[in-house]
Amino acid sequence: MDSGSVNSPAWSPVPNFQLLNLPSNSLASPTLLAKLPPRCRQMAMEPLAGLSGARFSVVPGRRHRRRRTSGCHCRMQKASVLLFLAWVCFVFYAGIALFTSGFLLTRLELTNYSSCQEPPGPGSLPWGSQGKPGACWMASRFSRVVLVLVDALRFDFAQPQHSHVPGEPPVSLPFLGKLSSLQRILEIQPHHARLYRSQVDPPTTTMQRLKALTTGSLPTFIDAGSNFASHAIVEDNLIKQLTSAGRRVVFMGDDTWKDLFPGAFSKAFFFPSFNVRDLDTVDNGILEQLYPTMDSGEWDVLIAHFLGVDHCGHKHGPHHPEMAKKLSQMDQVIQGLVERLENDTLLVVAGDHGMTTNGDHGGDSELEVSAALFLYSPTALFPSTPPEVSRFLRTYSAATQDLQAKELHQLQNLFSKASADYQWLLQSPNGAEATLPTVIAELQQFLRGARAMCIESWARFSLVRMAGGAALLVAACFICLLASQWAISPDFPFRPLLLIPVAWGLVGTIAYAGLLGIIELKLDLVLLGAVAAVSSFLPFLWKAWAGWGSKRPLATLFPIPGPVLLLLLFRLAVFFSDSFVVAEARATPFLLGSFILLLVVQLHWEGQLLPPKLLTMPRLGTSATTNPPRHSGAYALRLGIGLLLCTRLAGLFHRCPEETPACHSSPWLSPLASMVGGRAKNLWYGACVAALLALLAAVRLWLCHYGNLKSPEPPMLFVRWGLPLMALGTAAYWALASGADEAPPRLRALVSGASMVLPRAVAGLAASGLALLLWKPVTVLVKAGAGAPRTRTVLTPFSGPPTSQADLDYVVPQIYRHMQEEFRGRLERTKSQGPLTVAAYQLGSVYSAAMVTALTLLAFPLLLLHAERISLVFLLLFLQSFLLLHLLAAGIPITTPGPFTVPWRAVSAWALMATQTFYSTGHQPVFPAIHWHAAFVGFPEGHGSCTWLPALLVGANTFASHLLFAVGCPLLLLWPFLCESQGLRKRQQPPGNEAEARVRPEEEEEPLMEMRLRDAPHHFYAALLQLGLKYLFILGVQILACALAASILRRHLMVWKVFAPKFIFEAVGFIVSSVGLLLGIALVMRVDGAVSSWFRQLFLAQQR
Amino acid sequence: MKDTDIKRLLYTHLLCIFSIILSVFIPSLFLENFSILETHLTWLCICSGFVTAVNLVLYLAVKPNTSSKRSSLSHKVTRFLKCCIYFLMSCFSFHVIFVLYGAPLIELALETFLFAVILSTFTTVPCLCLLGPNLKAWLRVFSRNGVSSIWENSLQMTTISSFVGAWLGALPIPLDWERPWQKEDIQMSDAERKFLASHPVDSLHSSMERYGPSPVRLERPLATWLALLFHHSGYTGIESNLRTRTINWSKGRYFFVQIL
Repeated sequence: MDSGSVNSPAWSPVPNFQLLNLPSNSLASPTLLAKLPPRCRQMAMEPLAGLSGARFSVVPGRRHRRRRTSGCHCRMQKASVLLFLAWVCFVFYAGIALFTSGFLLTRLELTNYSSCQEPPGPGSLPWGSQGKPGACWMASRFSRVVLVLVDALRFDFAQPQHSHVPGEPPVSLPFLGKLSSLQRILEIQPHHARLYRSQVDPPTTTMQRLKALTTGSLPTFIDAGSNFASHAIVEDNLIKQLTSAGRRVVFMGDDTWKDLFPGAFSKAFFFPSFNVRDLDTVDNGILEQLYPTMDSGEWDVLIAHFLGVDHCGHKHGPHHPEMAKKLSQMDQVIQGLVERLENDTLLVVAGDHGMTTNGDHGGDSELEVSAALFLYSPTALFPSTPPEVSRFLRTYSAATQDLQAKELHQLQNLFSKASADYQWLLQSPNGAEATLPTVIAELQQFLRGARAMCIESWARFSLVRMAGGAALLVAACFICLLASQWAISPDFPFRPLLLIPVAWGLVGTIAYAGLLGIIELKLDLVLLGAVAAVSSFLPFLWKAWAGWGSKRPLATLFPIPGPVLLLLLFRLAVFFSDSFVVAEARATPFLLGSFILLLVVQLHWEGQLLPPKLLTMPRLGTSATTNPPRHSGAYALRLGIGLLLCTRLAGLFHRCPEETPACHSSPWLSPLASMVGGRAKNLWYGACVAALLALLAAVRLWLCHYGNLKSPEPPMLFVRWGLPLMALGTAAYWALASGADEAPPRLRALVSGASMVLPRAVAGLAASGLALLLWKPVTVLVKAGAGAPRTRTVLTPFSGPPTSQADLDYVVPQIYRHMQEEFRGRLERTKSQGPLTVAAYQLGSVYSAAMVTALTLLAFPLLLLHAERISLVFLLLFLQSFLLLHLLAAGIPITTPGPFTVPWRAVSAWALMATQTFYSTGHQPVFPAIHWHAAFVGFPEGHGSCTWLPALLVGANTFASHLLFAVGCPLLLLWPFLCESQGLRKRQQPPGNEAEARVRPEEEEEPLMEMRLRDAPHHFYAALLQLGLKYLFILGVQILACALAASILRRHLMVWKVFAPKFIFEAVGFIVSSVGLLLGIALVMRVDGAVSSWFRQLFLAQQR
Repeated sequence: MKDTDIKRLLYTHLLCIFSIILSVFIPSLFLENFSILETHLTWLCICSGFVTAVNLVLYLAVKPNTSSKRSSLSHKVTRFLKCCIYFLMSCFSFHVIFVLYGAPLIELALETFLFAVILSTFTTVPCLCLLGPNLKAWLRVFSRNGVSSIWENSLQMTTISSFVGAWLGALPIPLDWERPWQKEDIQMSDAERKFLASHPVDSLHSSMERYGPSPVRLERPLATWLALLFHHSGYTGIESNLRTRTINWSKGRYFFVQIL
């Protein structure tokens, strides 16, 4: 240990002085030395009850000077670890961004509405219809409309039976010729009906198609509107215009419309659409209502959305006799409607999309995009209104930069020319006949151009980008795997490995930007990032191959042990199945439980739980395990059972995805304010506050246990006084929030004011606590020695009786050095008064104390964002991670000088627990399940126009578990060292009197705990890097699996309902986790730096 | 010595397999409406009874460990009672573990308990037969270097693979084949069926193209397939037991050949 040396404290009685009476020449005698260890261990005995934790006295010496010279190097290494992790994260981000830009079809929703007062184009309308009642822009030709929407009515379903190709024999397909009434009408009344093939835009899923049909826009997956809480359409749409024009809109059928147009219908009959196996419920439900409603006459617009054809396609495919039956039923419906139609009514029969030969839809194949459109009326002719489109384009291009500027400009020119012609046409009616076709052609060209441009930017999967993004993700995972194996080997070239890729990345970026600048293309940030990532990845690979890969076999690259790999693979395979993604909330605790039992069983299997004499048959004899068990078997078993229990209890807070009808969400997820019954509410409130207090008490107890609470440093003062204040604020806020409605009127203002102030105060307190922690992270109690030191020993970082030759080899030189030091000290003391000795307590847990404090401070504001009863889950979360850390620490051996590693099983279990907590805090990876109320915590009046703050609050609510577990990730490395002291303390007898304890020969010396990490800073940083890379790998593989699932299953029925949201949640979760990980590791680094400077100051103070 | 042991091992395993097969067929002679799928609880009881009986008989017949020093009647009785208590305790502790693993606490309690019973018959009963009510010996056998005879080796393998099989049995549960609309079979046209039967590779290809690797509509056939695999056998650990027994059997033959 280079900083200071273990010492028995200056004021301790001196049980160790017998040692010094040894004659100096006898020191070399091996026989004598062999007897020494028990006595020697007595020297560093613990004399001070209550102040546990490692104590160190700082002695100036040669080692300090070395530390100072190497301080700069250490800082460099710290920075490069962080930068390396940041670079890996950047590669991941670039991959995610590239994939997302190819996969997600995004579009901004504009909330402009056109109105009747605003004419579509310049000048007055030629047909001059403004004055007429009920007219808007144009006179209406029909006063009523019946819109029959047959889901998945492909164009050829409306075709007659006979085959088109004359040479071939006629084939009898079940879906042909079943809509015979259409044919009959077309033949008998050719002037009253039209049948069109309508070409629809992909994605051909029902909700997107409905949006497109009613808004006249292109369908996309994500319409980033102002109201992203529901699917409701905020754009200008037909239904909205109809209702605002005073028409009565009656709807019956698919309940998707309920989400899209909440409250828009004067009368509505919704039927559930999810069950695709059910062919008849929706249709029969509609048929029950359709004719009575029609006959009652209380409607202007009647919309009937039939789902049977679509469900039949999903269930049987179009070639099934069932399809013929279904189409015949539709035919009867149409016939019935035609008979009931009055003269002022228009009948529209339309399909929203087609279906493939297998009956699926969602993609853009010819069969999917061709839908039938049938109109029945005396005549049909539709003048178009292109000015709206032009206005939309102008507004849209101002709002976003999506659209290609050049093409937009061309279109603008085209439009202005056309509208000029149009104006001219209006003013000079003489030559109208001649110029009309050119104007129409120009306008049509304009529309087509606009459509093509929008499709280009909105509505097409870019397979190249998706593949590129997936490839980048694979590359990033590969980096993680490679570097995590490489990082702990001593020849890991930190700086060149980091600097060269970054330099190349910069060069690549600049080259790409320059190239784009030369050929004058628009700079795409996503592509730029991808280019930078690729150009930095390739040199890394080359360097890695040159430096490492060629020397070692590739097999060492895949170091994940079998069972862990199996569980991991299973977890990844889950992302490819719709049902498993939906059931992930249940599957994750199962996997976590398996992991826990696996850990316990593995501990037993390795023989670390039982004393070796039990494990070997007496007659086998020699196969004794090398290391004695550090824990009793019951201890690990208790931990395992406790973990399982916690997992099971956390599973009680389960929110069901909407796809599983049989499942019931936990009633405990709702806020207390929604509860009726004062008594139950009070009980629950009490439980929540108790959970809060228990959390607080647990953290304080933990800090007290390791002694860090006794430190007079500001963070610990904050923990002592600030944390209870935060808990008080939280409890008061809950009380206000749950009983806000019952407050007497004169207190209303006070209550609302308090419910605004309290959460902000808690968040502010947490922020100030974190700032204090960052400012002074070293939480140790320093006591100056009362007098001159009587002993000074070099370190003896050894504990337990020496059992092997190796231990003896280690202990014996220590004793020798100790005695040498002792004599030197005596000599010095005779010369002059020795330097002051300072004893610092709790250095052994200084890193983890800072981490735990930070986690608690983070947890409180996050807790406030959730519903009250989730506080129980947070308590379980802390308990669970505490138990898991203990269980993992029981299996991780402490390699004293050497490279520290965190095994894969630990990192995997940690990541799994983060996922489990995500679900048990009442979240689901679907958009309707987001807890929107979190945006109003502390802002009961809303946020005004500010959007980033509510987004931040909701994001913090949703990804709280990701954040907490990522920040807490370094604990995985620190905990085994913490448990070192615990293992020793466990073995001590119940605290008897001190004198007896001191005499006992089994007495252990104080363990070094986390100072072991400081002893080998190089290994420490390498281990942190490795830990970060491993965690990133686990998360990265998950996001890769999600991306692959989304791209492979992009034609899946559930892609926009299950896979795409899952991918988005995983991606955001990954970003939050990686940021949290960087923060956590930076915090450890900060503590390390502070400890260094603390030692340095101490050293300087001593010298003076 | 070893040779005879291996032979005995082979016969005991064959007998165990035979007893499981018998437990499928024999009850249908006596009980009406007996089938594995419909009356699975009865079958579970009968199966565990058969396996326990066979294990006991084999233990009495083969006596792999003949190191019982005291053989007084009272000793035997206490030993037997102890064994019963151990068995019950293992049933209850398995039940607790299943509940902790996510099995519902109140509803389906009978199913969960019967599952615990049958898992106990496949794991605890052989342990009791072979090692007696001696927890330390059990712990020894289930650690890395603790196996001292071929009997213990086979015990270790069968028990561990029973657990693994029971674990695997939980995997198809999330597949949504229990939904009402998934229960009826997908009706295929005759032509389609003929086509699929005659072109297995094409059918796989077309179904992949049609459904993707695991979309909604494939899950019903996938689930039936997995359920056939696991629902009776994997779910109760028999599947893996059988497999291990085969492995053991081949291992035994290997030894046999080596010895010869």
